[in-house]
Amino acid sequence: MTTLELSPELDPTEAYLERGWGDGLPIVPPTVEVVDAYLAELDWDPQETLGAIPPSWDAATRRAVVVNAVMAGCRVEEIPLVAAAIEACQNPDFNLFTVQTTTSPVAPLLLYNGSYARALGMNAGAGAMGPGDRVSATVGRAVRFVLSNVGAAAPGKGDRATIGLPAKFSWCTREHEEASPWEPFHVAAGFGPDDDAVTVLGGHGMITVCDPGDVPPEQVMAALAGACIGVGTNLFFRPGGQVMLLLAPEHAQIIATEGWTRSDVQTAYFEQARQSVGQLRRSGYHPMRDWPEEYDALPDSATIPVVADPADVLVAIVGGPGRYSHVVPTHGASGRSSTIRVTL
Amino acid sequence: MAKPVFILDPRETDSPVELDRPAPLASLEGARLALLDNRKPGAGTLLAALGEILVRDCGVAETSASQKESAGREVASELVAQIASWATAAVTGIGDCAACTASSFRDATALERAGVRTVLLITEPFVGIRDRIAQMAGLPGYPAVVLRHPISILTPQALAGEAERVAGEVAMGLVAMSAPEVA
Repeated sequence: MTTLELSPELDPTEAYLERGWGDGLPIVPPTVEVVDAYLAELDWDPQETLGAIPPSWDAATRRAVVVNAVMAGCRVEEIPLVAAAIEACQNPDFNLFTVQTTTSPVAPLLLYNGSYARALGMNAGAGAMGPGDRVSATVGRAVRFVLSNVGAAAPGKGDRATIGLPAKFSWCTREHEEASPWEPFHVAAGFGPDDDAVTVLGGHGMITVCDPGDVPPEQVMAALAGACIGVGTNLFFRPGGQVMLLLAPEHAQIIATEGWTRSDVQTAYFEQARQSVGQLRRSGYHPMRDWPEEYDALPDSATIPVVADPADVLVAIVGGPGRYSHVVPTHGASGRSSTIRVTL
Repeated sequence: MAKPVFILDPRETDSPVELDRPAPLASLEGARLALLDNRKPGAGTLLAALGEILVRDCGVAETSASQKESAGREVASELVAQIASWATAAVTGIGDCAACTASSFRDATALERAGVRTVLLITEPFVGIRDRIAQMAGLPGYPAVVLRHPISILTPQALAGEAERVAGEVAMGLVAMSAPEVA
């Protein structure tokens, strides 16, 4: 890793922006002194690598993670969350290579579970995915910095997204476990209730869903299902993708008071989020991409699910009061979510 | 006098792993040609047409078509091994978006690391990302045969015509060190 010597009159932010490092906003200068102090406090081996970041395939060393986290404004205690997300992106099923280089607008959505992120103050309540929370803002930004700086995935260069996504600045939140009627997301994924975990999902932004008022769970689910049946979404190209429902606590409570479990929500969504074969044909999407042969024989009146299995509907509880949930479509079959334990 | 500030480059730059490309074939006479379809629209049709032309005009003995799991994923190592155990040359594509171009580049180099001389097919707008990916992989100038864009909207007849147009370049890529890139 190269050390840059700057004369005291030169603004470090300008030095970084001129080199195309960062996200266009001012950064915190990662001085040798600060980076060394953080590495010592974390007791990290600077050379240990967390994996290679495409498309440069350069190593995300622990030192590189700290440098980028400092640039993003992280405090030292937030950096293990950054490292965990980078490690989660290494899961081959996540397909970081495509997430980094595709023309489609994919960004890793970071969802944290457990007491550590909660104790740091990461917002899970009102405006959880908006601005104002230093922890989620800087952790998400730091992950983006590692991906773009180490991976050489600056927009228009390694990152070839046609329009891009504001979520590429930072897309990070925590499950509102305290407001959830169900077990935490990471526990449903097989981790222990005392574990800290991070989930990364290659998301295509979010579609907001409100409901018409006091309605039964079936109608809440119908409203949520409607968000994913647009024929242009990547989800239809080939069964195998995933979709994430970020349920507002009030929506979750409406559903749960009728005795529904998370599994019931997954099944209901799988059954209701279906695309019209006729509409796909009329829109010119049939038989493009990986349209399964068995679909060829279907009549226009048939519908097909947007995911292959109810388990591909991921359900987490996020947000504060109000009835606005979000649906996160993904980039289809070429990538899947990855959940790992956060090592502290 | 104020002291200079020492700050760190946020990148870790590794030395790319060099690739010694498999030597070009002396000729395609008797060659066993693998056609690796990345599942993009038209790829299977165009590759099949290319195979037929190379059998007809260049003496390729046999072709074998296979598909990888997804255009946005790199080819599985098992499929690379399977192809390498049989083929003496390969053609792969079509890179007609950023991720699939980058993935197809990786597929081509994976086949070449396994010893199979390979031609990569991409479409014209993605020459730039091929250049960038190749540069970062330590393979500047890695060739590709460049198809017209958009390829996905072409009829089977038009795809066959495109195969006829580029078949000579594909053959040159397999028997010579590089093919000209003409969209």
